[in-house]
Amino acid sequence: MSNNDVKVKVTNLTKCFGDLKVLDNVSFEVKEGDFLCIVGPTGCGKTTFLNSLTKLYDITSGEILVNGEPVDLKKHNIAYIFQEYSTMPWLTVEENISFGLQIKGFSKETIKEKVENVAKLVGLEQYLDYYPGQLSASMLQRVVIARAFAVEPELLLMDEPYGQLDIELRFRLEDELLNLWEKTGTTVIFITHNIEEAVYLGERILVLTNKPTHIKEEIINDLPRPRDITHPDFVALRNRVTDLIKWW
Amino acid sequence: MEHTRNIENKAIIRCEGVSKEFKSKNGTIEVISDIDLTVRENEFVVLFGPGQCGKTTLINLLAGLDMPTKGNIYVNDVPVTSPGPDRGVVYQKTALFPWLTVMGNVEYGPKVRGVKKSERRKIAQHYIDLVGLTGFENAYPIKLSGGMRQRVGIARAYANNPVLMLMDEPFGHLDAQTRYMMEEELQRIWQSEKRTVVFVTNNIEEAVYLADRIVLLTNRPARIKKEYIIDLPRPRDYVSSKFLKYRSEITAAMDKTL
Repeated sequence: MSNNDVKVKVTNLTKCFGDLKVLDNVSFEVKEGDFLCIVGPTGCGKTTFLNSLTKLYDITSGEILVNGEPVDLKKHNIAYIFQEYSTMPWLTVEENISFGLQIKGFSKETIKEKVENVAKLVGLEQYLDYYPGQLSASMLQRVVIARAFAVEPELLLMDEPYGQLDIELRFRLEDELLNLWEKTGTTVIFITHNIEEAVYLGERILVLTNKPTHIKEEIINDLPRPRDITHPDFVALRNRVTDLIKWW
Repeated sequence: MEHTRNIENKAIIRCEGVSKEFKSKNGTIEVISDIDLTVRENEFVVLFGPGQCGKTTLINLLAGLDMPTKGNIYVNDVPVTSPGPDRGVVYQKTALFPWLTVMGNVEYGPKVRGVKKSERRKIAQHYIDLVGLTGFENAYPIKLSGGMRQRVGIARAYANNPVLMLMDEPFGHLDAQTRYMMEEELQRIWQSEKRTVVFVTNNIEEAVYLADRIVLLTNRPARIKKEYIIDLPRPRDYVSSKFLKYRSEITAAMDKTL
């Protein structure tokens, strides 16, 4: 495999908070266009891992490369969807969605078009003039998802984005995410507690251990798409991942 | 099936033609429409429906925190007009008193009702043990994880010895793994101390795992769309073919929210 195919290369990543070692010498690669799901026990450091990747945290030691270079948020088009609904309350839905596009300096017409497209995708086209305070939690998360999709990121980082949505909406947004991923070739790193979700979405599943976190197993998930959560092969893979992380 | 043997015939809840409207500056919004529902003693009923469909409003009506616009609600044949200790409520956000310890929170209800200290301590300890928090009696809520706080909320509701437990998405904001653990725990607690439970969720796995009967609600205004008797032995297996079949069937029948 040539180096160009590697989107993200993590080498010997270690992160400590004071005496607490959260990530312990984690190394792996994500290929261009891959859909990587990361699962692990509650509190194992999944979010810390993603925050290290985006430089929200300084890492203690190790190296994170994107396209063969140290990760640089100015250079790399990275979108991050947090677990919390990180909308800006003083902006309308439309302004929230267009925020990244404006920073990137697109023309007004382009922004309008992109915002309309993505708002339609997540079912927010009726709500563009609303403020976050007027929306339910599930709609807020759709605003955030729309904002991330709008910039057509080369790397999309998602930290349990659908954890609090009702199941019908979750399924729909999962399918829309897959659709977008297949169309755009975006590389996705998706963190979840939900094993079924990981098996439904991922091309690969990285199973993490409890703190100090290292990689317990890397699973290639080649179940055919669209995947059926009731299919015996699906259930078998789900059980396998569950057995690897079950702490409850 | 075990659960059918344990459901007594006595009706604990009777809702007759219950509707609820809210007035806003844009007019009247009907949130609940003409609900007829009977819940029998020791039955575990799950109210299941899409987000924002009015499930919480129905729980508030049963709790007596709000009154229906039309229709009547009876708990143990008594009309519901206000909150009362016969109905224990567990909320999505645990609503624990942050200045009280676990013991202080759990014994709060009996204390307010004037139960003397030695006796209420005994009651509280029993339920603290039951929810698996032995050793945390003197801890404050801030020191506890999300799952542990919900255990305190459940113990506090049980400590009043209610005839009816109302649970409004108690595990909704927990992560998926902690939620599985809490569902297993709740089902164990309910098996060992049977109560009539009305449990609200929008999570179909949770609904099928816990319910004797699932009442599927429509999108707002909430009406009863269909009811499902979940005829599976406990504890249930989340990935058994029968479980998955219930899940797919009910998900397919649910109103679309978009």
